[in-house]
Parts: sequence; structure tokens; C-alpha cells
Amino acid sequence: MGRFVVRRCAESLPTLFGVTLICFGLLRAASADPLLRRLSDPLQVGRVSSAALVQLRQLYDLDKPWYVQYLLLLRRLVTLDLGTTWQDGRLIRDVIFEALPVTLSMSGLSIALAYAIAVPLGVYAATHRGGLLQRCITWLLFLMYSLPAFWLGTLLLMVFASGHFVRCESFEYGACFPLSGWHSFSGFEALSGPRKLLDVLWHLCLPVVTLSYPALAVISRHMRAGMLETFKHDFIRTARAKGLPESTVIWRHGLRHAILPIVTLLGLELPHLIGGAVVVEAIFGIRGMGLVTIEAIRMPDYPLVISVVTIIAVLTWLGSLLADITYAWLDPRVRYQRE
Amino acid sequence: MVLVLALTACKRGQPHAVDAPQQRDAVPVTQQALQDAWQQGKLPATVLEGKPQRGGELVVGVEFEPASLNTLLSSDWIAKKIAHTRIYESLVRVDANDDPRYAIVPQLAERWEISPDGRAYTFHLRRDVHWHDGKAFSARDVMATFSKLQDPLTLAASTRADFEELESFSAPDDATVVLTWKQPYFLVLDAIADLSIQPAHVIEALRAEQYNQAAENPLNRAPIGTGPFKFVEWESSSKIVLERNPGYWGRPAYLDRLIFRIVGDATVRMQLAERGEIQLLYRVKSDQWTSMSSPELRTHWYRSRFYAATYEWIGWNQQRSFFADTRVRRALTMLVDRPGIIDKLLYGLMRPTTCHFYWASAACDQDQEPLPYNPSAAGASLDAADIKDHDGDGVRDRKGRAFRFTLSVPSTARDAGRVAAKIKEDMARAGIDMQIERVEWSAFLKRMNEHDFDATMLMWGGDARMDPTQVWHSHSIDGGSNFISYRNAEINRLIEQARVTLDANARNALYRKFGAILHAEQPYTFLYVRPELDLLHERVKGARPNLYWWQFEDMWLAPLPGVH
Repeated sequence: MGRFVVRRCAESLPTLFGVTLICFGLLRAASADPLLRRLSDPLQVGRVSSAALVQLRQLYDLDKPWYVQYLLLLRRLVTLDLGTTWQDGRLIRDVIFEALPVTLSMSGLSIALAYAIAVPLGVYAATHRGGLLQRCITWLLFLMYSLPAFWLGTLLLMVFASGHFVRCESFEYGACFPLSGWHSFSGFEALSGPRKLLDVLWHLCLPVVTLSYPALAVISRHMRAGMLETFKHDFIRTARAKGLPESTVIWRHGLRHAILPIVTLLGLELPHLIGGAVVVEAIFGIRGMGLVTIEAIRMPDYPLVISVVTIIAVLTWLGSLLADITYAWLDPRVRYQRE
Repeated sequence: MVLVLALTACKRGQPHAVDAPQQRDAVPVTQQALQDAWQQGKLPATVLEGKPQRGGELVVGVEFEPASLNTLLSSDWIAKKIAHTRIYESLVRVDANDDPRYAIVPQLAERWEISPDGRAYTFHLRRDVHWHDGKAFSARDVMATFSKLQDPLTLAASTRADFEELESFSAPDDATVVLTWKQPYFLVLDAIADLSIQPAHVIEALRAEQYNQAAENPLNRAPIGTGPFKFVEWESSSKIVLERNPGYWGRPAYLDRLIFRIVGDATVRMQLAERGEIQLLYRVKSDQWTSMSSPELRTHWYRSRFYAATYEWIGWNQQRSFFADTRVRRALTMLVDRPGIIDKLLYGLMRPTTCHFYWASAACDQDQEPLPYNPSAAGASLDAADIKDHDGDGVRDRKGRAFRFTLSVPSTARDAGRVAAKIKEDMARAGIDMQIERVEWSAFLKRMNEHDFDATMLMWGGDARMDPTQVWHSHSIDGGSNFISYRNAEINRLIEQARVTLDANARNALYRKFGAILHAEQPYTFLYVRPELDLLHERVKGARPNLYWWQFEDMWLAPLPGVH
């Protein structure tokens, strides 16, 4: 197992390198001059002397050729000295430490929620093929899959957080869920530890739902297909022939086999979740990696963008590594083949 | 609709006559007047009535947060709006309650003298001012601020641009500061009013590279000033909290706390206002403004529509031969259906303008009417310039060259797509082939500076007083903002004369002449002024919309109904 992990790590180094290179290339291609872009008012551009622009260019290494700029950025990443942002000179480390836990908890909860709902749904769909309820669920999931997150997020806010449609009378403003932020706007600091956690979870409900629903359709569909495939196998027939109760056949023997491809899906769904987080964070006013990335790109703040994108890439890669390891753990054949 | 409005009047209490001095943006309260005020977006006179009460927390909903709260470094307007005159102060300030004149009045300097040659300004500082951390304010702080400003390594290029003509600064004693300029200039005091004075005991020890970095300079994330509000807390993408400075040298603010709540999504901001978590909503979108149907908002909120010192324009690049002809430019203006665009595309909210300066100021000729939308007169004017459809292909031409051009707009501009499409249609009907091109912002600026465009649509924003040098002087074709390469010797002369005319009346007379020439020549098609659309809860009192944002130090909150 150890060798397997090491090899997977070594394999992904070029990928990470490629990610930084593409990210840098895109940034440069997207904006002709990062300095001009920062001066949002054309009147200011006219006022700032060209000497001042030259000075700013030197400060940000923009006077150097592109490959030198890129290597300088790369050096900061490799030495883990992320440096400071262009925008206001804050330590990039601080910015990321603020935003990362938010995104991680949001994505983690979304994955957990998506799997917790989709796996039973998939199994149900497989065992009740052709039933009316099963058809309705499939249709509903497909419908949900095609709804864009920015639309559904806003809709959820209007229905559950405005206090107009669905009301929770005991809550402030009659709103079942908060409108924005990832903790209460005032009075959060004064709460006790467990109350703080509850407060954050309450704030994360709608964002997590918005983030996880597109994955529901995908995962449950795969689950259903996997389950149907599994039912054709001999060991299921054997289990049934032994006279085991149907629930044991499905949940113990069937599921463990059918869940394998779903685990691989985790690695594939992760980038979607993190990408989706950008939209969701913007709607719900939660400052996670997504919002930080948008702001950094808008500036544009090269060191911050590269750092954030690399970290997201590393996270995604870690996720798929985790999926691989779990897969190997669940299916001994994989381990044997690779070693 | 009628029912809702009747309810409005009841809830606000008995309408009563008002003998308060008539404000430009305030109207007396009757039922009809309240309805009209809501329609027009004017605050009723009651907002300015009553005895100010201390206490309470005002939450202002804003879309963005600043990059830094150090107003010397930050080039974004939101930093200045939040920090300047609330946390930081300047030697002098613009009187925000004096619309549209905006006179300069004392602040950290209690008085000042100007030398007979108009170059040396001697400021006598107040001796009773303290920084928020308790240290005394003195001329040393002013010196430290100017040293940081003039240090080429400080990233304050856009603030520094106002002080390029500053020759020297000195402090003969602890309470006197002398600023000497290379030549007299009418905007000297405006520049000084715009410069936040910072505490020497914080910034003196910092080298420029340290000063620039939030990691080293505490002022960038947690400013210390002398103003009526003290900085408390800044939580990124969530809120910036200020509180009343109890030791303020002037009249302390009424509000206990002033909170800027940062909410990126416009719908969410509106909902927060509806449920009362926000009391002042800054910049509502035009469609939200017109379709505001929530009974809560209609009964307990006021709408404020304020036209600031900005305007939108179409510039015709004079380096293109068609546009170098005044007859053509006048025709083009008459082809742009400004009233139609305002009514049909922009919710009827824009205010037509013909002036480069703040539209309400004396620098604008208030009687100057925009050229009418008149396609037939425009056609005649083009015919007179021999721009006709000679070859019968449906497009006008002159000497074998078809009249085609491209309108370049920045890809981020609001409404630009729809407006440009309407103009394109009008142009096509008049036999002119116009293409639309959307360009990414930095590429767009680059092309503007290199004069590499035919026509462009943009917005200028300014202050109560503006120097048109940067936009209209022919020196500004290279290195300024005279993107359209406009050259006019008389315009140059008027601009130069106005720069050194310190008497406001004389200068405004020059500017009205300047405006008359632009109006006749139409190097720009002046479009309209975009309003700032804000929402104000009825509890918020003492509020006057003005060019320098809401004057929070004068604002107070009426007690909640039922609480005495």
C-alpha cells in the first residue's frame, strides 16, 4: 500500500506543475496588463505618471520576462513561502487560513450529504425497478441535475430564508435559515463552543444543499446501475439460495460490491464540488476559497491566484488519492494488480 | 396599489406642515407628497426634523469591500467612502451639507492663509485633537503623512498625482504647517481635503515597503484616525465595524456604531433590508428600484435617488476622418435617441446632461439643452457634409469611403450592450454601418491610451469641482485621458486660465464658455447622469444625499416605535 501511495504522489507532480503553468498562462492571456486592470477608473490611469507605473511594474516583477515571473511564483510555492498579496500586502497564508476551513467544511458536508442520500436512493431504484415512486425519483433527480446552482440557491434563499413563504415562527424574522454569511452577523463571538458549531451548521444548511444536489443524480444513477449489475452475479444468487433475508443480500453482499465504482466517483465529483463552491459562496456570501479566487482573479492578484489554484489542485488530487486508496482497500484485486 | 399607499400614510403618523428650510432634496409631507417623494426618490422633509438622539447601530449594506482601509494606498472609492472623514480627517474638509457649492471649511486646521501670489498655504492646526489611541495630534503627523505621500516607493501613485505641483511642506512649529506649490491652482484645497492625515507615531518608523504591506502596516486593516468614528473590526467579506469616538474634538457622532455589511448578492441585500437587518441600502439596482413591490419597503422605507458628479458619454475619435468634421458629430448626436434609451432601456432613471462638470454646479450652464433626437436633421447635416449613399449600397459614403465605424465598450460596462444595440439600429436606419465591440478592461484602457478605436462609450466620475485639463486639454492626448485626441486652442486657453482663477464665480464663467464650445462642437455625445439609488429606513434621520456619500456623523436613529 505504501509503495502504491508513493507512486501516485510521484505521478501527480507533473500534473501540479502543469496546473500552475496553465493558470499563469491563462491569467496573462486574460488581461493585457494587470496594473491597468487594477486602476478601475480610467481617469486615474490618466493621472498616474508613467514613472509610477514603471515603479509598480518593478515592484511586482512585471518588468521581467514571463518565464522569470513564472519561476519566481513557482519558487514561492515550492518553498511554501507564499508571500503577500498584491492587493493589500496581507500574508497569503493568513488569507488562505481564513478561507480554507470554510470551503473544506462546506465541501466535506456536501459530499457526506450527497452520498448519504444518493446511495440508498440508488439501491431503492435498483430493487424497485419500474415502480411509480422509483420513476418519480429518477425524473426528479434528473430535473434537479439540470437546474443551475445560482438559480436554485437564490430560490432556496427566497423560500426558506426570506420568512415570506416558509416560516419558522420561533426564529428571528420567521426565517428558517439565515440569508448570508457562514455564522451569525452579530453576537457570534459571545456564543459558547457548541453553540458556535450549531450556528455555523445552521448557516451551512442551504449552501450545502445547493452544493450537493447536482451530485445526487450522478451518484444515485451509478449506484442503481452498479446494483443491477451486481444482482446478475453468482454470489448474489448463492446468497439468496442460502435463504438469507433479502435485506442482508442487498445491504451486506450487494452493496459492498456495487459501491466500488461510486467510490471512484468521489474523485471525479470533487472538482465539481469545489468549482460549484465558487458560485455557492458568492450567492450565500460565504468567504471561502471560491470567493477569494474570484476576487483574486478580478484584481488580478497573480501570487494569490496561483497559490489558491494550486491549493485547490492539491486538494482535488488528495481527494482522488483518497478515493483510490479506499478503492484499493475495498477491492483487494486492485492492490494485488498494482503491486 | 392605492391601498398600500394609504397604509403608508397612516403608519407614518399624521401628516403635518413643515417650516424647516427647504432642502433641494426634501419635500414637505402630505399624503400626496409622500407618494410623489417615493416616486421621485426624494427624502421627505421629516428626515431632517426632530431633536437628534444619541445611540443605536446603523447597518449600511454595501456590495464590495475595499482592498485596504489605508486611503493613501487604496485606489478604490469604497475605501475612501468608509474611512475618509469618518475615521481619518484632513486639514480642511468639503462641506457635504452645502450642495451644490460644497465649500471648503476648516477641519484639523482651524484656519488658513494664502500668500498673495497664491502659492503658499499656511495652516493653523487645532490643538485639542487626539488620535483614537489617545496620542495628541500635531504638525508632526501632517509632516509624516506628506513624507509618506511624496516617497516614490509608497504605492500611492493616484493620491500623489494630486500633489505633483507641491514644491515643499514644512512645519515651523507644532501647530503650523506651510505647503508651497509651484504655481497657484484652484484645486489645492480640494486635494488637501481629500488627503487623510495619518498618525506619525504609527507610520514614521515604517519604511515604504513596510508601509505598503498590510502584514506590516496596521493602518491598512485597522486604521487609527482622529475622526468622529473609531475603527473596531473588519471581517473580510462580512463587515467593517466603526463606533463613536467619545473623545472627538468636534461634536461627537450620534450613532453608537456604524456597520458596513458586505453582501455581494443584490437580492440578498434587498431581503436583509426588508427584514430590517440593514437600515441603509447603498446602490439598489435599477430593476429592483422600479419593481419594488414589498409592502414592508413601501411603508417603512424611503427611496433616495441622487445624481452625482458623473456622466456617460460617447467619444468620437478625432483621428478618424469622418469624426473630425463638426457637422458629422452633431449629426451623430442627433441620431442617438437619448430620450428613447433612457425611457425604454434604462427605466427612465437617467438625467440628460450636456456638461462635463457636476451637473448642478455653477460650472454648468443650466439653460443649455441637449441637441434633440432628430434623424431627419441629422440626415440633412450628413448630406451637407457630402456624406451620402453615392453608390446605392445602403451605406453612406464620401469620396469612395463608406461610413463605417466600431463602437468599443468595456466588457464589464453595465447596460452598455443594450444601449449600444439601440444606437446601432438608429445608425443603420440613417445609413451608417456601426459595429459593436466589447473589450476586456485592461486591453480596453490600452487601446484608449493608444487612440486605437473609432468611437467609445464610457463614464467619467468626478467631484464638486473638476479640472478638465486631463480630459480636454490637447496636452492630455499623450499621457492623459484625452482619448479622442480633441484639439481646440480656445478650449486650451480657457482651461489654463481657469486653473489659476481662484475666484469661483470668475472660474465658473470660464467653464460655462468652455461648455458652450463643447456643446457646439460635440466631440462627445453627452448621454446622461446615472443616479445613485439608495434605500433608507424611516428610522434613519438627519440624512442628506450628497456627493461625498451619506454624512454618517450627522445621522441618528429615531427610537423604535413603542420604545421611549
